[in-house]
Amino acid sequence: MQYFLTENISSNSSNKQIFLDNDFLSFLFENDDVLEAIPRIFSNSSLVIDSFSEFEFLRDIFVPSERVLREQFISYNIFIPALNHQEIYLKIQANALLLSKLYAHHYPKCKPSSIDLFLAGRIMYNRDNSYLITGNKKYFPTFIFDTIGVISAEKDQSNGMRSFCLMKFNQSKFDHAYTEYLKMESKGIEELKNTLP
Amino acid sequence: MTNFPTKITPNYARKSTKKISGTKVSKKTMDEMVAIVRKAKKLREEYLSSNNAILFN
Repeated sequence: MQYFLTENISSNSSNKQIFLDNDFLSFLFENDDVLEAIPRIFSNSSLVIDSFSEFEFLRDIFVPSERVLREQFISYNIFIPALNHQEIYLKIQANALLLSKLYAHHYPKCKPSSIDLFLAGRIMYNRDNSYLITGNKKYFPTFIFDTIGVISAEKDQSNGMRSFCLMKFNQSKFDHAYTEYLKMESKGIEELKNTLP
Repeated sequence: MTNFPTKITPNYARKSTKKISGTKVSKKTMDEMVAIVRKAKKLREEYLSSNNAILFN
């Protein structure tokens, strides 16, 4: 199987935590050629698994004994578990809710799952040193996130090609969207106040 | 008078100075992971070709 990388994907992701969305993690679990290339591609960055990605990776497994292999697979120290305690969780939850409001305002057709929103909230929270690899780029829209690299790979047993994007939270794009949203929200609240007793 | 909820503000972690260690993995570890991937693939193929899959579907 062949895979293709955009130029400078390794240097662009250097010294960053790379969070893995479940679709990329599952792709690694099914394609050993790409798996073997990962330490070379991300030699200067760490691969991090958020608890939500882990949850998605382990849920609804069709073949019962495969779940055991999946648990073994993600226990290897090539992957680092994300920090996950109450204080961080609440902040990420607030970010996820805020992002859902911005998505609804700027991009109503975008209907990400709760887990995608939490992952987006995580990347936003760790804005200085974290990127995300996902095959669902549409749930990390360009009015907030930048694409800084792409990994494309042929799929086993089909002639298809799967692409995964390396996404980065863009602070200035977010600030612009957030300001626009606040203007709209305050206008809506004023209108509401005038109609309520 | 109706109380309106306070607006949600963005949350950001403090900038970390921690050096990222990089993805380092021994040949033994990678061989074990590749073996798991191949075993899982074989299990899926066996399961899909068995009666269990037909019944399940």
